[in-house]
Amino acid sequence: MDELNTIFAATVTREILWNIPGWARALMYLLFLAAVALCLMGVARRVRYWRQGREAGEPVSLGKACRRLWRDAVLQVRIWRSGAAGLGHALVFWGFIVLFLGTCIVAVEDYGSWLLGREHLFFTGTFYLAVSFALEVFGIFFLLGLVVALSRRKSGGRLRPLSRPVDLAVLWLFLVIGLSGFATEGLRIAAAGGGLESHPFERWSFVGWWLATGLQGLDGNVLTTLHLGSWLGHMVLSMAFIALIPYCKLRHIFFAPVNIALREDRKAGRYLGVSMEEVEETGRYGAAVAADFTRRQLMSFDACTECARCQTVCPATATGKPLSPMKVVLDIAGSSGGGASLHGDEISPDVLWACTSCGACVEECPVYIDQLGAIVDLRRHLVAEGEIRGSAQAALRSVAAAGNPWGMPQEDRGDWADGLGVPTIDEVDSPELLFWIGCAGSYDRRSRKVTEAMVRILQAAGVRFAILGKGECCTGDPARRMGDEFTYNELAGANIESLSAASFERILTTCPHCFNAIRNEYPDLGGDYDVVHHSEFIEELIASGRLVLEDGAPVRGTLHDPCYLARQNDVVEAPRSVLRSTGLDVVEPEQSGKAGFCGGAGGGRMWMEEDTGERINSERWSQLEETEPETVAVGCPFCMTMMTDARDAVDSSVEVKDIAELVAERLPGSLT
Amino acid sequence: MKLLVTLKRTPQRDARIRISGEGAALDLDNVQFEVNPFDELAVEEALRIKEARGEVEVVVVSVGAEECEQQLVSAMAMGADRAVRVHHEGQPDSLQVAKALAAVVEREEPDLVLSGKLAVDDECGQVPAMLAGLLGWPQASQASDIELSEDASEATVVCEVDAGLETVSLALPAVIMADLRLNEPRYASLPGIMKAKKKPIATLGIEELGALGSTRSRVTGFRALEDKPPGIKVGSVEELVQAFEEKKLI
Amino acid sequence: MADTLIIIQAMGNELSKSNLAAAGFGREAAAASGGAFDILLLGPSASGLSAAAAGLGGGTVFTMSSTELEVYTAEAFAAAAAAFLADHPYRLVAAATSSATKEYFPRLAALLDVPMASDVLKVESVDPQKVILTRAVFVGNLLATVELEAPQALATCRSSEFEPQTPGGETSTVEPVEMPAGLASSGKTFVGIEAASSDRPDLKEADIIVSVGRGTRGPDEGIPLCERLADVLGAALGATRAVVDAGWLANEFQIGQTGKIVAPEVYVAIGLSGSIQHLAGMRTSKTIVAINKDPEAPIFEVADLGLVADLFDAVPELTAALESRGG
Repeated sequence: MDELNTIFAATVTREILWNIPGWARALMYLLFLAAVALCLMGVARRVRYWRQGREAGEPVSLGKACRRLWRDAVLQVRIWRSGAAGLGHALVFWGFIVLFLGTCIVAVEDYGSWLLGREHLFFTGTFYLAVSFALEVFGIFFLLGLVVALSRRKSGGRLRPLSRPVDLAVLWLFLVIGLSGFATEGLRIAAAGGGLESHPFERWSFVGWWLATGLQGLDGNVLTTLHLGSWLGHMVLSMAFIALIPYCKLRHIFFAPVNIALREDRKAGRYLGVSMEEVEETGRYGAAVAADFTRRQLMSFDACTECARCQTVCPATATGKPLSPMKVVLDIAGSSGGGASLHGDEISPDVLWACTSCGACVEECPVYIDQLGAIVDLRRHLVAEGEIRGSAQAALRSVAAAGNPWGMPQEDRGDWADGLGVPTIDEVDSPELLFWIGCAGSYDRRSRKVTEAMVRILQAAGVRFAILGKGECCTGDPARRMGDEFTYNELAGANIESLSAASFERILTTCPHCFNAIRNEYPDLGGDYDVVHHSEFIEELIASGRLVLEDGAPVRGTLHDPCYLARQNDVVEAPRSVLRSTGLDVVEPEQSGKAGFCGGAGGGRMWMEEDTGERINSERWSQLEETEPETVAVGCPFCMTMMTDARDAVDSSVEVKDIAELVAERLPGSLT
Repeated sequence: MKLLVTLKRTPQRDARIRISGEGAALDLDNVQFEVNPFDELAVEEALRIKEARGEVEVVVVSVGAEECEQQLVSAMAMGADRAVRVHHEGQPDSLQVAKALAAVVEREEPDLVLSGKLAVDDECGQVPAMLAGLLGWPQASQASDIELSEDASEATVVCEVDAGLETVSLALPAVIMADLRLNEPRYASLPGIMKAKKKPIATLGIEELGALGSTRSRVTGFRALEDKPPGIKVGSVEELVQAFEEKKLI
Repeated sequence: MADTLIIIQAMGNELSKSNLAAAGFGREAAAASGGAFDILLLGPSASGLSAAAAGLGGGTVFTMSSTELEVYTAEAFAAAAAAFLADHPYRLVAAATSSATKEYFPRLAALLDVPMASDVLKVESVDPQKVILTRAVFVGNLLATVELEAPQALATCRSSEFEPQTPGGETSTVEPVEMPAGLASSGKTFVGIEAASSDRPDLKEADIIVSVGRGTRGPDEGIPLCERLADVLGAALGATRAVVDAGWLANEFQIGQTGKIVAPEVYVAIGLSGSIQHLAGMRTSKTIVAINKDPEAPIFEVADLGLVADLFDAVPELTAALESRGG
């Protein structure tokens, strides 16, 4: 055995660039230089584009960057939401990395041994065999991954990728590179002097070996010619690939990991504010040109892999609106920059107003692009230009002038509480809860019933609570989502003043929009409060025994998750657990929880007309109907309006009720 | 070209207006104010003319106390170039306002005066037509479309009259009163408000303008409408027809 | 100074209901001042209408027509009225509210340098120094008492609030008046008018109005159903602002704060929710009937008879029921 090893150790290797004449090598170096130059130029151009953006945001710590890269660049967690995609991409990804490492090893061996004047450096013996074997395996992985990618385009299910010419061209480019790699190897093994028996260790390159055995019959000259041809093809295509990277979706190879690691810390439910002083200083509000975005935002748009998942999950795209989050991102990245306005036929007001701010795009993006943030910045510019009209403008004005989007009198805000024995905050000393009603809960006829149900629940559980009454005004959520930070700041400021003057332990609300604004966004303006959604609070009450519900007949039903509760604030289980206590075991619709489909009223769309394509709420209603419910439970006044309208549009007899109403129906004494 | 737009500070359009005490006055304590919506249409129209023609100055004017500068700023936030306020502390009547505006017109010499057809608070709808009479200028009211000739010597206006749509042609200078379907005003937000703060507001005292006469029209009391006795809801078309018969409606 | 002058625009072959109601205002003002009222007919058909006008209970009926008055323009009518009043002073000069008087009466007030009250609902008192009138403000939500303190004043009156006088009975003297020469050219040219011609009664004249709102979903869906109902009832057709904004009906059908203010015997509101601006235009109708799918629609708060039903079912049913009864 030792003798064998000694014999083998010396000769177990291959001649690098065997059969490749000088001109071909020269061509290779030339093309390599050209390809690298083109690639670097392309990258430099993108980096220059990013640098026109403004500086903003906290730098990312090394530890955080590494953690992010581990999760999303190595494990690629979000890609695995489609098992086939996760597998396919991992195969191509790791296959490519290992093959690339292989090329590097060969290069080091070649130049290193030349520089040091030795015949071989390290690419011999066991090492050689191990590397060769690994390259075979990962080469197969690479090809398998491409096959998975191609087949997903035929039958990929919900997160199916695009099959545009560029998508197919890229996959076929890789396939041909991969196949030609194996072919070149097989031809080399077949054509190298002495026949297969003279270098049996080549079995370790099992694919090449298998090909070589099949090619045995061919003439030696034919083999060497074919080998050179195959090598040339492989080489040219590989150089083309290198050159192409920054000029098409392949740029995500470089930019996706960079964005994953260095992106700003933004959440869908927490917009970055801008103060009057800042606007006065910079003269800028919202995004009119590329330079109005931050550098990291511009960088993030280049991370786009064009997987189109954001587009697939977007409720606007799904119902025929002109908005596609991916297209907005690509349009910004593709703009000429400088003074060229981003707004026009492609990024039009219709596109921007179609967004419901549901955040599905942000939740889905495997490379962490904040599409919603870009849309909001663009919307702010529209508002700055006065380009908001019709019912949306009327709602904004009402919010600013009357403190609620319907223009109802501020002094009537506490009227719903007449006769219900609900104290205001000045009548109770440090209550456990400040019950934040919200505009819908105060003024909207249907939503008032939800408020009343919640009051009954709180009273039944003996919770000490109070309301602000007239001291409450709109949280400013509609203004913020529509892009008017000025009005938002005014309203939020006024509320924070009222809240800070009061004392209470926690804030309870039945509206996820109020919940999100007060909990996630008010802290940026100095208002830090402990906020709980009514589904969470009721769950606590039941768990602690403070609230006991009567048993009754079970109800067959489903839950329409509010976007601002489930997806943006991770409250998924609480509503379900509460509903179970009322006898409603949620039959999940296809898209639920954090992957829920929007009801259509967010982003200020509650006050806008929807006259293009299908209605978002109707689309959602058909999804819910598939669970054959008797009751659709909701946890948000906007969802309530949307689902009720959708239900009425099809004349269905399915009930639409808020979680609080279903709980109130089971209060002791209610079921008689 | 110079356009003069007159505007009035009126209570926010959805505000609930309460009578104070015995009805001698109104309780406007909790009420927010805005630019009279019809005047806003006039401002918007002036801005559109400015955007279409270029080289147009849009001047907004209001008669009132210092508070109405807020509304002048709103109009400048939409895009008007400068503002003039005629200072008047009391409750001038329509003719006095018209006389004050006529004096401003004489100073400013605009090519066109635009105004809303009525104010949503008193709904008198007199001032712009009175202004036209004082100036001896042609007028057009309830305008739903305005087009200026190339040389800005003429305006063709479509007016919504009782019988339908009437088209008239006015030789400028003239007074035109805006109606609801003239346009959709833009929203004045943050950057516009920032720029507006730097635009000039000139204040004129009555003494500078000449005699406005005394106030001869005055509101001396308010009262609410009488409550109507509640109606009845019927359950079907047959019942409705029956009710028609009983009330001898048909 | 003689007391009250009612100015009537003489453009057609008949005195309209508004004109007759203006005469009713004249009567009320005359009673309040303890005097009488005269009528001035201005326009091309002044002499043609003089006989009918003479039976309205006024003292004298003046007629004035000329080439400048052939086509109505605010400038010409205001100038003509001012010229007349220079020779014939009156304590109170009034006309029915219309798109024309909204335009030329304030101009006239400026030419005369007198105060004016718009769209008056009631005459409280008339004396040599002061006229006290009632009118509506804040989208018809409040009533205001207005005092005009001057020896001469102008007013437009809401014709639905005054009793239309029926021609006949006492006869007044008719006096033609020459239009003074040299009325300055006004700078206005009348170009044309687009008016819907219809067999249906005029909105301001009709005893019954069928009014359509957004719930009718347009001229291809619910509006024809309502038009058939209007035909059976012999009613005029009205609309909300939303319907006109959507282009389903022309502006002359609009009823509301902007648009026409009416008070017919019967107002049938179909598929309209009853916004405050619309209510301002019809809430004083004698009987309000509402048909709407939404039981919480504000229109039901002012309706005397309400039917919560889908108009696409109820309106054809109603039309058929009325037809079979002989309408």
